[in-house]
Amino acid sequence: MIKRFLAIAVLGTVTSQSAQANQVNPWQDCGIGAMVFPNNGAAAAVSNIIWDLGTTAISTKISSAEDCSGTNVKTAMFIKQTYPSLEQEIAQGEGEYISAMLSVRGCDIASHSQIVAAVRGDFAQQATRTAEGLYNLVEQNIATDFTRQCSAS
Amino acid sequence: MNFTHLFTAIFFLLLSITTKAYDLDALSHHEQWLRLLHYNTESDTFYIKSDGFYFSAGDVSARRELSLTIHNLSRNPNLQCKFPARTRWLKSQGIKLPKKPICNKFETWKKAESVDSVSLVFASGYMSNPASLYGHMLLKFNKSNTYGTHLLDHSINYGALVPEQENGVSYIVKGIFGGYSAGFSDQLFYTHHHNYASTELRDLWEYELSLSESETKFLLEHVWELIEQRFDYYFIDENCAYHIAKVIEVVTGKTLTHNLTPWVIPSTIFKKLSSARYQNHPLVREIKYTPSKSSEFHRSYTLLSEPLKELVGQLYTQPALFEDDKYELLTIEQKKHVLETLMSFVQLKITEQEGIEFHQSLKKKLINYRFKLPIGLTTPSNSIKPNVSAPHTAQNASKLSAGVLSSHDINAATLGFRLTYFDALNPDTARVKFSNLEMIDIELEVNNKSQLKVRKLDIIDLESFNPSYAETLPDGNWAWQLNVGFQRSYLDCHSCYFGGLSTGGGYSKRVKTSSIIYALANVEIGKNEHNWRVIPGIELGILSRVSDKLAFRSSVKSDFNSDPILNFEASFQLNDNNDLRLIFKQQNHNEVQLVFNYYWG
Repeated sequence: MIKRFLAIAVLGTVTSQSAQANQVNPWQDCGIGAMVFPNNGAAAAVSNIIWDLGTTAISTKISSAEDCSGTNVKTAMFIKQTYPSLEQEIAQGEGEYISAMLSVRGCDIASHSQIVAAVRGDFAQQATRTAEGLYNLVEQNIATDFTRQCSAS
Repeated sequence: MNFTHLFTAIFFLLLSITTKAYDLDALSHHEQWLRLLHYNTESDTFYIKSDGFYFSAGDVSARRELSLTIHNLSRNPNLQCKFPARTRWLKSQGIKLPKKPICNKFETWKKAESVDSVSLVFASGYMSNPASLYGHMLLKFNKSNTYGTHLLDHSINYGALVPEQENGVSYIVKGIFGGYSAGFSDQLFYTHHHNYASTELRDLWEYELSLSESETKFLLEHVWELIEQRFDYYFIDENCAYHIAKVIEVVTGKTLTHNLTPWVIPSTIFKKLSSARYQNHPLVREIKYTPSKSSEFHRSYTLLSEPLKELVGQLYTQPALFEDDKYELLTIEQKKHVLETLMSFVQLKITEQEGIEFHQSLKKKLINYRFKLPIGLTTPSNSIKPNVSAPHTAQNASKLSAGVLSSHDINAATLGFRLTYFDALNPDTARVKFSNLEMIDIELEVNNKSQLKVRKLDIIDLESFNPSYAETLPDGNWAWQLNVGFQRSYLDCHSCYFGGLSTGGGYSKRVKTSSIIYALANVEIGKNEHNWRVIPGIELGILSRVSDKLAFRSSVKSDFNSDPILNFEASFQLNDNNDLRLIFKQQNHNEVQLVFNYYWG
């Protein structure tokens, strides 16, 4: 929890710099890499309560005031939080989470299958697969081949 | 009199004329006004404790609040942005307020919500956390399906503000008796979907409400008023189910929370919701099921042929067999199905923190093999039909009992009361199969010697047998139990009691679809009539659901110091709210009891 609040604090303090640079790396600039999400029952027993309170920056009512709230940052948050499901869905080439992730990123539904196929091909080649690696692949593929299908970050 | 005083006097004169025209007294007693204020009619108090919600803070009354709301919304129209639901309601009652200004923050939020319909979501009970045993309830605003997924819908949750590093005793005491603030939060639904369905392995049920567009809008406006407000939290009654139901009541006027019982549990709210009618229609338009990752795995495994189930078990223990003809010669669809099943199972084990290194490594291999196959699922999760029933179909949670008893030296009448929730012989409809969750369960006897005795008092009695549903994989089969209470030590001693804690763990195995056998090692820590004692013991038993109406449990329990005790209990379901129990016990002497149970609440 301390890590989460630190991350949110980082998220708040670095945003003005990020906005100026206009090249936000959510993992490093917005502290998403340091965020802790529940991945087991014991943690969930505690975090269930935390998540139930609206004390995190994800609350839409609060985050609308945050600078670090571009679609790429939201996408990074989504990936970090739901990575186990996303990893499996990308291997399978379809799924509800991967579709939601691309919608968060602002990509047309009609383009989802093409983007997933492209990301899947690249992701399969990676020796070490991580949430951050997946985020980078998504952004790279959008930047090179799908700029018109997805909104600016 | 200076100019300010003159202006104030004129203002209040006009206000009094206005309010008289609208009968302030009558309006202040209007049910919807009281609901908008979250007024507790029974105790004549207000639920919201934070500053800023009541203009009359410090001396809150419905009438003063109405008067001050009209005054403040007239004087400062920007406040209408903070209270859009109050504003709408006041205008609907004919009260003239200045034109509502452009509310940028609210409009941005409302646009983000862009709601089509509203659902109440039930997350099924979770045996690993005492606060989640009864399930959880949240509100979901369903968007027009522009994203093609409900994961990006907005959801409103209610929960207690528990400090970091809170100790267990404080957590329980404050949770039950008060001490925590609570509030509503607003998050995208994927947060809860992932937390409940993927992390805590809880099935989700969405009850879509039959509300009109304007009612949905009104609900949205009221939720806006509530986010960031603070309430007092009480686990027993003023919990998530209670306050989320109160929000629905604001719009529908249907009382969902009024009950004979002083406690509120989510399944009770869903029972009322499912039977309620609103505007000549059922209040619930549709019920939608979202399987947990655990349910997805079991469904995927069940659909495998027997040879493929065997192969899945072999591949799990010997991944090298992926290079063997046994796997290589399968069709692409069979390979996909095998890999999907194994990936789901391995992810379950990772979620449950079992053999993390082994399962992470195996998951990586499985994903590599999956990348070699074409895109596409064999069993889309939305095709999974529930093999459990919706929460509103569950049996009522509270119980009253009456019975007769005969043993070697006495005959007696027995009376019992259980607060909640179900025992292992109750129908498992909408409950965790092969489990027991009872709180405050007391049984008294009045015997033929004119004595009144407490036969047992369980504060809490939990059992989870968790049998495996996938025979070829190491799934489940571990069982545990926890009891805190007071009961007789020996069958043939009517004045021998033991009070304290009993806990145990062991093994269970499914022998047929609806039967299990189990073996538990347990320890009792507590006090009898004379001393504090620690008593180890074992229990062997069978639990079987013979049919929808008939179930039985039989066990032998020994503590090595006294003779083993044989327990047999059969339950015959008479109807939804009644059953008959035949209970037989033997320890040197026999004891037979016949009990009639009535379920309510």
